Formats: sequence, structure tokens, C-alpha cells
Amino acid sequence: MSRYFYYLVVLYMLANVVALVPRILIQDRLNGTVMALVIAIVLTMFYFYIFTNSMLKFPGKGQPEIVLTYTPKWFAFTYLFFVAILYFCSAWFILVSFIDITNIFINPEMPSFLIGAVFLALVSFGALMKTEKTLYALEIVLLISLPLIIAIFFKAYFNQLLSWDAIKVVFIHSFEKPSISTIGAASYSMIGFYFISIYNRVLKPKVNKLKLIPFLLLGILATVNIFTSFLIPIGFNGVDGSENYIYPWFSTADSIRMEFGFIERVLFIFLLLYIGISISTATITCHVGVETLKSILPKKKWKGIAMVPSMILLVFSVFTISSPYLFSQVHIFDFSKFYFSLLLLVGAISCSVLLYAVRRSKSK
Amino acid sequence: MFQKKKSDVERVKPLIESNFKSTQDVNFQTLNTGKEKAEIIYISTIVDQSQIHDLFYRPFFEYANLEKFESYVQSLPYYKSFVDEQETIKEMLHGTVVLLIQDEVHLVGLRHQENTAVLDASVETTIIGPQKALSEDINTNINLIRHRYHEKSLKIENAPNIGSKSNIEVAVVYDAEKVDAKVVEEVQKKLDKANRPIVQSAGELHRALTNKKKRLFPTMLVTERPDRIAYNLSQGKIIIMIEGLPFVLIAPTVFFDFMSSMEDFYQPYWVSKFLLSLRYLGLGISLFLPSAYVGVTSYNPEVLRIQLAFSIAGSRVPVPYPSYLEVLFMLLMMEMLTEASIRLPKTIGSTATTVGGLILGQAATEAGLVSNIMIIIVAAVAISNFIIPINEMSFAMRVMKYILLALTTFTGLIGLVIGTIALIYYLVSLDSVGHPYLKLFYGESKQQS
Amino acid sequence: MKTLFQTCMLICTLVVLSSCGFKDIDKRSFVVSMGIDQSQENEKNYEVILKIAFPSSEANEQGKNFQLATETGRTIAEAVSRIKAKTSNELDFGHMKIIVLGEKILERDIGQTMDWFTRRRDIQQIAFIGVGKPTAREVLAHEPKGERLPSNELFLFFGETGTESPYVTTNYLFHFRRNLEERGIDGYLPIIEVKDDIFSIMTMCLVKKGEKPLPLKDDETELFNLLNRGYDKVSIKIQGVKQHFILSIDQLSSSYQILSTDSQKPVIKYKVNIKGNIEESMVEIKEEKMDQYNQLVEQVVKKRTEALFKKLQDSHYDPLGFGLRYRANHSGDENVKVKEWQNIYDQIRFDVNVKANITGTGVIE
Repeated sequence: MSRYFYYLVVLYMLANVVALVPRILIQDRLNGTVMALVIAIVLTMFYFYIFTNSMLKFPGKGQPEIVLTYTPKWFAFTYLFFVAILYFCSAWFILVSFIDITNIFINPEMPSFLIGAVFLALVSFGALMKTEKTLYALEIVLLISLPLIIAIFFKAYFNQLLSWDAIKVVFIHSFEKPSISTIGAASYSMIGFYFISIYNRVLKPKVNKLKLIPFLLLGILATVNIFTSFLIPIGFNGVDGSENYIYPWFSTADSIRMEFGFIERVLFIFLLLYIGISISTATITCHVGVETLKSILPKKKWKGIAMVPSMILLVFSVFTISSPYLFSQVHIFDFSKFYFSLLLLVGAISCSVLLYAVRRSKSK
Repeated sequence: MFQKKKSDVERVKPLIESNFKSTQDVNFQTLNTGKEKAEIIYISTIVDQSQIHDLFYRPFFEYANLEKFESYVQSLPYYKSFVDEQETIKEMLHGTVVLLIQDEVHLVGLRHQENTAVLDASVETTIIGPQKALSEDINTNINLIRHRYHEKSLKIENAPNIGSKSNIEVAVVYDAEKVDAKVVEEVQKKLDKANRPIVQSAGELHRALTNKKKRLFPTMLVTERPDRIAYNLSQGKIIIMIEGLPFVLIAPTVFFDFMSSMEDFYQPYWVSKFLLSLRYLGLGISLFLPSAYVGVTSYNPEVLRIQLAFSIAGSRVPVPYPSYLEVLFMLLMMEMLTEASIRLPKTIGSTATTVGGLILGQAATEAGLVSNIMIIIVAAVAISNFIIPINEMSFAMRVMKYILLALTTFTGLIGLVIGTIALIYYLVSLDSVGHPYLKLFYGESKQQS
Repeated sequence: MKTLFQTCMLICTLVVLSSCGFKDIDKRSFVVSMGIDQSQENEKNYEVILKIAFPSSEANEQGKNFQLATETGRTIAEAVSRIKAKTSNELDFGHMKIIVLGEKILERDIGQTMDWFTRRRDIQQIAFIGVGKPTAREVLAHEPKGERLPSNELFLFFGETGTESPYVTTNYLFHFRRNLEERGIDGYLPIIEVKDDIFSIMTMCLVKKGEKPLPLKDDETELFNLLNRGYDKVSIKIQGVKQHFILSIDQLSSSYQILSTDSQKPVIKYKVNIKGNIEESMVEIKEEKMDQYNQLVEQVVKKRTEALFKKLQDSHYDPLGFGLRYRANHSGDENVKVKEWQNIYDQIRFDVNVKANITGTGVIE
């Protein structure tokens, strides 16, 4: 498997910290979240296996081509449109949350439309790049930020003031009935593999089947990651105290101190790194969304340049920039819960569609 | 066939005469033994005159037979066959002797270049490693390359001359076994398309070869080092040589080529890795330090340690201007010093920079125009900018830092990070002759394909 | 022409947008430490004291360049906004690293007081927090000699770069808040006093929502810090009948288990491992008597630890988090468990088990 595929998977593992996932998990911390995490991991790894392997059966092809070839037209159109909207929603969550985070933690005096405009200009530029180039950019951003983020995670784990007893309290409540939205939120951290639906065009892996060992390693990584993003804020803010934070991870990062670092407050390093991660995630997600949506829209050209992708991104940008004025925090939070629950269902649908396509392609 | 050749001379001769009649350095001469006649035409200033006598005058009278002389001329090493009259004129301008024997036109290249001396490497110097660069003569340069790259697959192709007025000879050199055939095709297509009246330098040719008119970053590498050329040939790259220039263009290039110096190959492994990381650190400092200063002091002073925050605040107390004006003022002063020291004669140059740098820095802080810390930052930026080994890249980065500075001034530290990511995105989106410009692990992926 | 127009437009937009948040570092007043006292006129009001540092171009005199701004208000935010009106520069809390609560403030609802600190985004969660005795004002007003920055002395006391003493209890804002919120563990704060013109941070007090704070004596503070944070490089006094020596601890680790079955009385088995060597002795030290010394250390530490635990138990304070450990090891509804624990803690027995290992007698025999 190409290394770029792993980047895509790892990217979402990092990005979930921004997209309200820890908050949902922490809200339910005493209602079987540990169970929810385990269910989410097993379920998503199952989807992962089926989806990726099915995609690998069509080397060099993206999901839109496959679906348009092997399923009836009305279905392909609805399905692709729906999936594209979901991709954009995912990018929207990350951007809206990060605009809010920027506004709270970095520069409270800057109007959020300006921050949004700056972010979206960059995301749109990135999403309009060629497919393989988005991967090159992602690789660079990840390679710069990943070591530092991992260092911060380690720093958190080895912090003397991390309360392991508080974490244990959460584990006591493992075997309780979890809610669907918690499972969905946990699964969100692993949805990076869906991107192969477009990136399959350029990845050109030599294998046509996912190897077991890297797959299991990814599973372990996903487990460690989701538990980290759920437990560290609890360890730092307490079982009872962690409830009220809107962005638990950023408040947690502020609790870590680098006595001998160049910058003493870890919060700022964390924030600056996460600007990069959020922008990359939004870029990749938008790119996939645009590519998917493009396949079912007419190809209009103006002076020889394809206009459809730019138009799609323009609409998305305007919507995202105006969202902080249209929706309240509570709306966004409720909507994200709904969205995460929906993800579980969509995973099943996507897998079945692809399995159907694989069967059709074989019978032909 | 005879008929056609007969008309050659008739067509060529009046054309040459009308074109060059009034020019002083054009020689029209008739060789006449009484029986036999031949005409010889050349531009005396660009032809090797010492050879003309030995090659043409003496044999003509010794043979005293046109047939024999003709076959002698045809077997000369520099012989070129006649194509058409326009071509002939062009060839003459590049130092070819035109012989009109009976009804046939013969061309013999006898170009004489005055400055064939091989220059010392002055732009990309190394401590250990070859000390000589290229010369200003294309043939000498090819000679230098051939001596460094003994490979039968080395191909030298003449491209069409560049520039409708300057009409400069261009050669494309590559290793046929290593090179990607698509890239050669692409380069040749681009050379065909390039049209500019005058092309005198590699940078200009580079401009003519890229599609985008407004470009900040070099996508082809300009170098003067034969060892770098040889190394790049072995990497399957294409060298574009230009007559009269001690620089060549290398394509396709990736971003990392601009950060590497030939010295890296000559030093021990860890030393060269250290130097390389130093270079990237320098790049980081020169790009980010001014904007980070503005972002931190004016938007998020809580990022710094309290002790540092107070010393910056303390040194900024007498400064009446906002931080970005302070930075801009000092940076511009520094740019002027750098520019001045390039343009000034070498002997004055160092004096000017010392006087300018020292006195300006000292006086500006005392006058309360800039803070002490700012002086340190500007000095660090200036020095680290020169660490980038390829000049074009260091110029591009010099410009880039102002863009980052502007972004940071308006949006704070967010702008700095956004600008950095934008820079990465932009560099990634660039192409160098169809190859991605910025991509990590470039060598590894090339081996796979 | 077109480019010129575009450039003009760009510059115009940027200029319009440029005014947001741009404030130079020298136009900000950095609050380095903050004190909260009870107002003298009205018992319900807060008196907020901000130590505002002024940047000065003379690096050596930074320490004296500060202003103490005081205002009273019904809430902290109200007092702070009054102070804002009195300072010419923008108040910046980004560098506030010390929070001192007056002794009297602790007797009020501590949760209400702490609310302001956790809500503000610009307050560092890693600020140090302590109690000023008798008032926060006195601590903030103190001006130690040769201070490079206002309040720098206190930063050094609490930070790991400066002194490391078992008497100095370090507590971060986030940690204090966490202990207050968490059921099953209680907060603690160092008590900062100014004695003979120097800071003295020898004691601490325990804080709990809705109850009076409990001050600990200096030797109790030392022991608590040893057990709680596993300080090393600490010396403790060992006094027996005949021997009297100082043990320098290289390593101290402690662990405990809560055993509560229905049949027996619940018990906390507390194990302490001490490794160290003798630093100073009043009587001659003999190599062959090492076992005796070990035993002596064990006895002394055990006695002191048990006394401390007893005191904590009697006053219903639990700063070491026994309750949280109980919650972590027993299943059930959290509210029920917390109630259960309150009953258990009253009757629990402490079984302290100390193991000492004196590895050497210092450089000499």
C-alpha cells in the first residue's frame, strides 16, 4: 500500500480532536464510552477492510467512475451527491470548530469572517490542486507537525499531574450501554480510509488486497489514538471537572508546561500545529468532495477553465464563512452528533454499494 | 540536381552582398590562380583568421585544381553542407566561412571565440572541490562537460537558435540512457516556442521557457559548476547551454536541488547532513523571523517566556512606530545594503556595507527608531538568507518573507501559519517541465517508477 | 492599469481589516500576579490587586517597575474592569503566572471565586496559585532585593528552574481547580508569608468547597509533599532515643491499596519505600548498625505518616485522593459511591508500612 494512504488515515486520527469528538465522548464518559470506543473501532475497521479492499479491485479508478459504471444512473447520482455532501459536512465541522477555536484562543479581537476567509481561501486553493499534489502537500504538513504532536501526547502521558485514578473511574463504567452518537463520534477518528474513493486514482498500489499486518497496526494505532484523545483531557481536568469544556483538548494543552522549552506554554505550539492539521484535513476532504460532486455535474467551461469545482468551493466557502453568524454553538454540536451517528449507517451503505460493484464487475 | 546547385550560388551571393556590403569586417575575396577561381566570404572578426590562411589560401594554390580543392574542403573537419540561403546568413553570423567554388556553396565553421578562458567559480564556491566554473564559449563548455562525464550515451543536440535578434546558439545536453524521453520532448517543444527578441542570460531563457509569465520561484536551476552539471546529467536531467554565457540551465529540478550545494558531496556524511540542516534552519530564520516578531509582539505576546517578553517590551519602549513599520524599515535598509554591495565595485563594496550596517544599526537604536532586538533580528535574517546556496532561490525567499510579513501584520500568528501552508501549497502546485516541483522523498519514488 | 487598480483594492481591504487585535507589546500592561482579598468595607466584596509590570529599557531595574492596582467589586470581573479604566495601556493577563488568594477569601465559597479564572481564555492554566497570609496584598506588595522582574522571585520558588524544597508546595491553577471539582480528592494550596522582608513558604492549607480551610504545620507540609509528589533530594530528621541523624533521601515512592470488605473494618494499606544516605549525624555512625538505623527510619516515618493521616481523617480532608481511588476501584453509580466513601472514610484504619534502605553514610564512613 502506498504510504500516502496511511497519511490519509492518520490525518483524521489527528483531526478528530478539533471536530468536537472528544467533547461528545467526554459528555458520555460515565455511560459506557469505553464500550462505545471498542464497538466503533471494530465496526469501522470492518468497514475499512471491506471498503478499501473493494476499491483496490479497481486499480486507478475512483468511486464515482465505479458507481456510475456499475449501478443504475438514478442511484449513482443520488448516492454520489449524498456522499459528496457528507464530505463537505466533515470539512465544514472542522473549519467551523477551528474558526471558533482560533477566535477563542489565538485572537479574540479578529472578526470570525476574516479568519474564515483566510482559511477558506487557502483550503479552496489547495482543493483545486491536482489530486496527487494534494497528497504531496499533506505529506509535508504531516511530517512537520506529526513529531511535535506525538511529543505533546507523550508529554501529556508522562506528566506527573495526570490523574490516573480519574481515568480508572472511566474504565469502571466500561460495561454500560453506550449511545449511538458516541459510537459515531469515535468512528469519526478513523474515517480517513474513505478518501481512497478518490485517491485510488493516483495511489497505484502494487497490491490489490490490504495486507493483514499493516491493517492490524492501523487498528492498534486507531485504538491508542482514540483512547488518547478521550482519556488525556479526563486525566488532566478530572472526571467531574472535564465536563464543561467545549474544546477539551485545547484546555488540556494549556495545562501542560514545558519548563525548558523555547515556548513555555504548550497551548500555543498545539494551536499552531493544529492550524496546519485542520487546514490539511479540510483541503483533502474538500478535494474529495469536489471530485465526487464534479462527476455528476455538467462540465461547464469558461475560457477553457473548468468552472464547476470553483463554483462548488465558492458556495461552500460562503456557507462556512457565514455559519458562525447563522448557527449557535449548540446547533453545531447537536448537528455534529446527528452527523456522527449517520456515519455508521453510511459506512454500511458504502460498503454494500462497492461490494455490489465488485460482483457486477466480475460477472461481466 | 546540378541545375539546382547552380542556382544556389546565384541566390546566395547577391543576398550576402546586399546584407553585408556596407559592413567593414566582412571579407569578400576572390582566390584566383589565373585558371581557377573561387570566392571566399567571411566576417573577419568572428573567424579564426590564423587558420584561414592554412586551411584555404595555401591549399588552394597548392592544389591549383578546383576539383581537388573542393573535395579537400568537403573533407575538412568543420565542414557543413549547404541548406538554404537564410541558413547561410545565420551561419555566417556565427563565424562560418562561405566558399563559392564553381557553382557550389560550401560552408566551413571556423568560429573564433575571444573569451574561451575557463572562469573561476564565483557564484557557487566550494571549499574543497573543483574551483573552476564554465567559460563563455559553448564549445569549451561542452568540452568541460565531456571531460567530466565520459559516457557514450551523452547526447548533445543543437536546439534552434533563440531570440529573433540575438540569435543565440543553444545546445541541449543529456544522458540518453538516464533521461526521461518525455522531458526531452517537452524541453524541445518549449525551446521551439520560446520567442523573445533578445536572450542573453540563463535567467532570461528560463523566463522564456516557462508558461507562467509571473513567477517567483525558479523552476529550473542556473548553475556555473561543471561538477554539478555532471552530477545532474547522471541523475537524468537535461542541461540547456547557451552560447556566450558561463551558466547553464538544468531541468527538471525539484525544490531540494536549490538547497543543495556541491560541497555536500565532498564532505563527510555527518558534516554534510549538518550543513544541510543548517541551511534549512537558515531558510526558516530568514523567512519566518521578521513575521514571527510582528506576530508575537503585536498579537500574542503570551507565547514568549515572560523574561523575553519583558526584554522585548523594554527595548521597544522608545520606539514610536508599530512593530511592523519598525521591521519593514530595517528590512528595507538591509535590502538596500545588500543591493548596494552587489552593484558597487568590489573595493568599495565592503566599506559601504560596514559603514552602512554598523553605523545605521547603532544610530537607529540610539535615535529610538528601532529596538535593539530588531537589529539582532535583521542581522540574523540577512546572514541566514545568504546561506541558501543557489542565488535565485535566495532571491525568491527574500521576496517571500515580505508576503509573510504582510499576512502576519494583518492577521497575527494565524497569518504566519496560514502563509507557511500557502507557501507549501504553492510550491507543491508548481511543475518543473512536467515534474512535480516539491515532493518529499523524491529519489525514492523515482526508483520505483 | 488593471494591476494598479487591483493592488489599490488589495491595499484598501487590508487597511480596513488591519485594526483587529494589533496591539504592540509596549502598549500592553502585563499583569504578572494577581491577588484577591476580602474588601475591608464590605465583607461580601472582593478586593482585586493586580501587580502590573512596566517595561523599561534598563534591564537591571525591571524588578522595581511595577504598579499595584487595587479595586473592589461585587465580582472579580467587576473589579478588574474598574482597574482597566484606571490604566492607560491594555491590560494583558497572558503572562499572569501567580495567583494569590487572601486567607479570608478561602473561607467563602471557593468555587465562586475560581470561576472567573477558568472562564477567561487568556489566563494560563499553568499559573501558580497560593494563599497570602495574612492578605494577598502584603505578598504582592513585597519587593525582594535584586529581582529581575516583578514577582520573579515567586516564579523561581514555584517553578522547577529555581529552588526545589519539600516545604514549597507547588500547585497549578488547573490542578487546584480539578481537585476542587473532583469528588474524592481535595485541593491544597501553599501559604505564602512575608517574614523579615523575605518570602517564607513553609506551610500549606487544605481547601474544600463549602468548608473551612485546614492549615498544616511545616513538618506536615514536608511529609505531605514527600508522599504526594515523591520528591527526591530531600533531607528528613530522624530522632531516636540514642541516635539522631539526618537522612538524605535519594528516592521515595509510595503506593497504597484500599481494602474494604463488608465483614471487616476498611483499611488503607500504605507502603512507603525510602532509599537514601546519611547526611549529618550527631552521634557516631557505625556500619554494622545499619539495620538498626533502617528500623529507626521506618519507625519515625511510620509514626509521622500515621499522625498526618489521622489529622486528615478527623477533619474530613482527603488531599491525597483516597476517595478517588475508591471510586476508581469500585463499580456502581458515582453519586452512590461518593456517599459510601464518606461513611467509609470516617471509620477507615491506616496501615502504614515503611521500608527504608540506607545505602551509604555519605562521603565519609
